[in-house]
Amino acid sequence: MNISKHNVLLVLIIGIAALLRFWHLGLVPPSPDWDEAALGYNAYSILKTGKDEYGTPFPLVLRSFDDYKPPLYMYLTIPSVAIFGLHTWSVRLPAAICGTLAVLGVFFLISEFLTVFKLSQKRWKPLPYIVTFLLAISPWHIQFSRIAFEANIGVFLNIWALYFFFRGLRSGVFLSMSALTYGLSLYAYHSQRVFVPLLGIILLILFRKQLFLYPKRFGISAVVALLVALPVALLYLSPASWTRLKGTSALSDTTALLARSVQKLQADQETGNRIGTFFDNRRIVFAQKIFEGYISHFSLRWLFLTGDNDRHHAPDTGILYLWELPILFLGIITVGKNSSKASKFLFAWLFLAPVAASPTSETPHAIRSLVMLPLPQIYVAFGLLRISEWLRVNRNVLFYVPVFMYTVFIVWNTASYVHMYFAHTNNEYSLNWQYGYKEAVDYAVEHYDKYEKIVVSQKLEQPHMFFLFYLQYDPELYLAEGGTKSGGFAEVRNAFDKYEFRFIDWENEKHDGRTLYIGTPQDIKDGYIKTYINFLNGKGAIRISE
Amino acid sequence: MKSKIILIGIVILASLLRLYSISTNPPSLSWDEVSIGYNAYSILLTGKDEHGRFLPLDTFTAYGDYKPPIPIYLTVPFVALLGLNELTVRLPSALAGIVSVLLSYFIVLELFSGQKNKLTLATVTSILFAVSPWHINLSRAGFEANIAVFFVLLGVLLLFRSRVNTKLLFIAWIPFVAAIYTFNSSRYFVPIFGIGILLFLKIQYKNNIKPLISGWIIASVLMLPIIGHLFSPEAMLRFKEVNIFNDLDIVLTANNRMSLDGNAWWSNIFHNRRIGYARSYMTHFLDHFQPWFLFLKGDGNPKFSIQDVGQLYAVEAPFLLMGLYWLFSTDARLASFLLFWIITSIIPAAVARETPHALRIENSLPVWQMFIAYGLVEFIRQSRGSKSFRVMIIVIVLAFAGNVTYYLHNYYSHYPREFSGEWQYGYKQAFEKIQPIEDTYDRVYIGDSIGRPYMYFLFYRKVDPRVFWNDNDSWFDEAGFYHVDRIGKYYFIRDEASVFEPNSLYILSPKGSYKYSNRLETIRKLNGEPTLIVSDSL
Repeated sequence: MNISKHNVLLVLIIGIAALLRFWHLGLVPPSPDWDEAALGYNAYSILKTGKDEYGTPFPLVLRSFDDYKPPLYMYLTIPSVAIFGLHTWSVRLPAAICGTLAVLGVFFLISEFLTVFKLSQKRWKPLPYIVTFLLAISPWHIQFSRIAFEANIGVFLNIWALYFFFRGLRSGVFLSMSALTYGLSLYAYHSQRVFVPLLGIILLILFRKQLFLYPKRFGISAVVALLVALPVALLYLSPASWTRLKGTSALSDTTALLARSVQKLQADQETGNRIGTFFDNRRIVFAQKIFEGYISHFSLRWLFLTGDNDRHHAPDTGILYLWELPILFLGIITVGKNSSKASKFLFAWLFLAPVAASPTSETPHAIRSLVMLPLPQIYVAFGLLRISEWLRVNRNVLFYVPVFMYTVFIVWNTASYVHMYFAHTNNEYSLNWQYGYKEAVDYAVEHYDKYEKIVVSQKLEQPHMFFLFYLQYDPELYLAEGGTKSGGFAEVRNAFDKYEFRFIDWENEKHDGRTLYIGTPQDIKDGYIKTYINFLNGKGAIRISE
Repeated sequence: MKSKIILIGIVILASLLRLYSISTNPPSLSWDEVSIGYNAYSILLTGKDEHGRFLPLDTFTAYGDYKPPIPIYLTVPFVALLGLNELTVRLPSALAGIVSVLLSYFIVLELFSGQKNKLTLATVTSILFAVSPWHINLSRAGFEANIAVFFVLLGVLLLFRSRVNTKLLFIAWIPFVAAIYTFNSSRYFVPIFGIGILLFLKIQYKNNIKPLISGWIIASVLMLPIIGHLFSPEAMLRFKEVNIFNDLDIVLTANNRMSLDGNAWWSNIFHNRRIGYARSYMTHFLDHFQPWFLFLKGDGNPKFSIQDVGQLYAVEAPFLLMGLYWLFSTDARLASFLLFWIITSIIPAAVARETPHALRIENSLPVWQMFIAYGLVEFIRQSRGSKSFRVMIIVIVLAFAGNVTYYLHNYYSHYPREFSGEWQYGYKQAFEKIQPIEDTYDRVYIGDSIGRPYMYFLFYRKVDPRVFWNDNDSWFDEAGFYHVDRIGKYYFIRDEASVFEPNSLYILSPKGSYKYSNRLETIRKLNGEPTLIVSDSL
């Protein structure tokens, strides 16, 4: 093959990646969830006023629903919202762009990877194309490239930063660019703040010889990294930043967690059991819980078949393809046999990736461990190459049958995912995508003049944000009315214009026909429904009444 | 010589862990254990099972769950020698467990015969197997599966030895047949595994066609008694109850999805129900590799796991990965065979709804320990000479010691207390309590809150089977389960009584007891919760 043919291949792969990421961007998943709406509206607010929904000018942390989001995604959304306006798809646009650029970045990354780890023999030539293609069709990557979630930006930056790092082993400029990109990625997502420093240490150890060969280059890059990271580090001096960590920690609900251990300890003390008082100890329970969270990310069932939260995968699909399962293991062995340094590096990556997610509740977690991408794809590519080599050596008709059958399975499995994602996600998971707000807002707008007040149930989970988002409510006005009070789940003070966001107590509400109520099917009693909105599978989502 | 002493030490360790206070921990006999015990007792006294069937060779009807025969026959000699009690019901499984540990040593020597450090590997594997929570838990109660593991291991060893001594091919298949007579899951495991091991062994089959074929003929003849049962509707009945292929949700989902696709022809390729079932099967299959199952909690059923450690120890996790990685890198053929062994043991278990299931995949023991031992030994070999070598060894030893102590502490100090209910604790104590007073009553009513009270009665009162057959009311229900309503003046009833008859004694759960009755005794579980109440009318 000549160079132009290669380029055609690469363009084709990137085209597939783009198609899978941009096609129906605002339509699948069917509606923005609260985080997407919040990122979109805050970008809109900054664009119009320079302040977020709380009135904080150009924040380094986005308070949002009191979850203190890293701000990078929101800033990336500003140009898109400025050009196209505030829509679901324009909020998701940065994710799709970065997702596609991440696929492109992987091509460069793997090409450099082969040089750095001295795998430049002819047999590894196809590897960058295979990895790039696998990431292009990866269910895990597609899932988070089509929604406005922060983690995907982190992966995009990781890929380019690592590519810059590998090139930076030969060039000072690239090393500094790597430092800058890694530093920037700390503003993309929480997991990055754990993963990137740890990966940095690994890179430092593995490439210490090359790095210390040019102390000046290395010094400059180190300073760049530290400078970019400094504001993030300073954040952790304030207690507010720890709120999210506490909120998502698996160890925060100690009563339930320790119940058995406490009983045991009492029994030990009654019987005077010394060993028991040593073992039946909350530190051991905590350690077990963290270990469980960590190791849960190596669940094959989770990776290849079920996924976790329904918002994190397509119906009946895991986050990797089932067909990749055996090939991934073959790939791990193949890397080990051909480059022990590459093997060490990839293992370090594999075992660092779930660290940030392990002390959190809800493990395994496909977003918090997203930093694992594109590692599985690299392993699978090695495995595929090994098989094709083996087939070339063992030309035996006997092998054609199973190979043909497995190829059919690969095609079917992949097509099945794409079909499931585009044709069935909306129907089956619209609940998880908080479907129905757009319709509710439309109704409220249509009947706006009839009512003095419009009350929206707080049970609908952060409704104020969805109303701000769909009304494209003027941020200037919103801030003048007080902005958001807080983003807590029990907050009842949020209000603007005619809209009030609080809990509905149906028995004690005034039913004078001048207030419009929008709530869950539990909020509004059966006989009073004016109209209702269903999820796409026909189950009740929102009820509206007077 | 030295290795012999070590081996004796390992067997002593395995015995201690499997026999020490075996009568009282697990805290009481499960319904399966009393059934096995009483059927053995019945065979001993009359030559017939509890239903009066003469020396069943295919299956024991028991509760209608059709128990495999060998575990019951193995219990007979122990009952004959030491009487009918907790110890004798549990000894066959415990002894099979101890011998299994010994067998694992020799099997590793055969499997790794090409390796220099095969003695170390064999020693480490058998030590890990001896202290395995998975194997200890299942060895300490009368579990058929544990005896099946012993037979499988014996068969594996004989087959491997037949590489040198081809005469062994005559008898090497007999233990595999015995495993089929011992445990339901083995009926599917053994044939698949047998083919795999034949392919792996590379015996000079051409030169040994006579012993090989003769061995198969002997095995086939031995299979004759059970063949009829294996394909009988009774055997299928139990299978139908637990399997995943009658889950209607999958059909509904498939139909919904196809109708959303406008019932297009291609929609069938993605959504047809067979694909749904295949996916469900894969999910149940991969359940057995769930990290929490293997390393943290173990099987959700407290009979099989104490809920504090996994089926394997948490510290074994990294060494299992290393073992898999290194063995696949150095000897892919052997590693594939061992992985095949584990997979084959899961194949039948994944058909059932309750997964992961430690008991049904017990045939995968001690392969896990082999991989772990390989990882451990290889890790130590590779880090020898590094500066922190000593520290590393100390850390590993401490971690293992800590993990094992943690397990044993919980097993002995907390397990019986916490989970006596899961072991059907209560009927024995109740029958002891009423013994001095029951003569004054005309009738004794016993509720079924714990399950199968009639069998506990037969077992603990050592009722002569002939007496039982002469004076009882019993019947089989539509699902094929066996119910006994009365033996003599003892009535086995549903756990509820709204009015108490005069001159009658009642043993019911606190919930089922009549509020205004005269409570004589309360039987408490080991954690203090009341489980049975002995009472009569006011």
